[in-house]
Amino acid sequence: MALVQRGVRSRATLGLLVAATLTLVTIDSRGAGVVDGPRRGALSVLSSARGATDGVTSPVVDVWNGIFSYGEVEAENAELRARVAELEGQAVGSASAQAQLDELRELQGLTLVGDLQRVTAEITRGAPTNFDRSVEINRGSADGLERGMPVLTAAGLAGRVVEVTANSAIVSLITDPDMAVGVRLVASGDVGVARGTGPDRPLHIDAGISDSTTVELGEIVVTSGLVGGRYPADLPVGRVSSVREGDGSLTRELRVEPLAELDRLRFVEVVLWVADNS
Amino acid sequence: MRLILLATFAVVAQLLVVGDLHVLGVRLDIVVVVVAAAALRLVPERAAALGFGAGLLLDLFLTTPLGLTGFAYGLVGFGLASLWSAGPNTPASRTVPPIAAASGAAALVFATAAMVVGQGSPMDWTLLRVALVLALSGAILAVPVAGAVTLVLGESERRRFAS
Repeated sequence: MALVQRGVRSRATLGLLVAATLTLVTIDSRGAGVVDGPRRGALSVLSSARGATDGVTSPVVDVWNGIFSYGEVEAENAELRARVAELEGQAVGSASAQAQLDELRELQGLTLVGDLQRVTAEITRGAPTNFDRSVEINRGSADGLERGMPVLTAAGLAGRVVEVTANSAIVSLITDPDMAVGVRLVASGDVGVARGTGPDRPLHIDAGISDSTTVELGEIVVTSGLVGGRYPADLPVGRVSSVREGDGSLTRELRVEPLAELDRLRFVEVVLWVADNS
Repeated sequence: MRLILLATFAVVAQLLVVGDLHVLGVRLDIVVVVVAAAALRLVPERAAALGFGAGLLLDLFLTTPLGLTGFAYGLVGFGLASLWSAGPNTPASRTVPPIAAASGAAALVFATAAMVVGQGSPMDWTLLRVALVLALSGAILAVPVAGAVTLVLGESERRRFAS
């Protein structure tokens, strides 16, 4: 009898657990304000608490990560030196191209992304768990930040502001499975939607690119900036790393490696631009 | 009340310090270790409630869907409490393995649940590495955390039955 009762209670507990989770996930995915308020409050409290305890916790964290990440830091250092040498070479060619571009812009009277106002921010922390790869930055609504603003590195699009408190903000990275970016192939002009597939993974474009379009590996992908999109046009997003014919469809599937080095973020720029429909 | 205190303390520790500690690129997780250590002393229903509550509190600070971490920790707490029991005097050899296994399992449960709701990426070596590091760190943290859990829960949370 006791075993039967225990079985019933177990099933009831599991049922309750699943039902509560599904309810919360549904409410959250619908963007209900009932979730946003507590989340914003929690982040605000956390930001203040971190500010107050940083003096104590930072040395501990630095020593720990210095010990357990020394090998990674050395390898990263060597790789960065090689990249610096490579980029110094490319910079010479880029300077000439930039001069020509500036001249053309002036002649055509075009407004490009570079003209949008930006705020530089420092990454203060990553998310406190392994499955949330968002990052916290040290700028907030007091600096003009709003939810939905694009976040860039010098290389390209890094993510989007998803939560803002007075002096900090949370940025979701473009590799997050919840993120979708309207993109355009620079050479062909075909537009599609690049979706995140998880940390350290390429973005995935599975619609919008015609199978008659010639796509070269390494081709640059930028934001499309179509009306109603969440990003202004022409922000660099990534390079095509693989091309696959769609299964029986008339489109191609592309993998795109983000240009921004998302696992080494230190400083970013928040573009003070919000989509019309947001 | 003691369970709420325990969950809150674990989440605060995770947010302020432990979440910034990396081993092989994996962030340590003290919350799941606390949930697992407490689950050994609790009936499954209370272990599930502790895990769900602690995970939900942590979810408030994350951008992952609200409730997913709660589900993962709740399920792990429930499963562990259903399969295993330990008292304050149980030797470490009987408490460390289940806590370590639960710590690693929580990562797999979370990833699976995230995939089911369309928020996760397919299982791969990265996930396996996360689970292994969490299991290993869970094994190392098991003894001190189990001691702290015993202190907080005291005699008030004895298991009502032995598994």
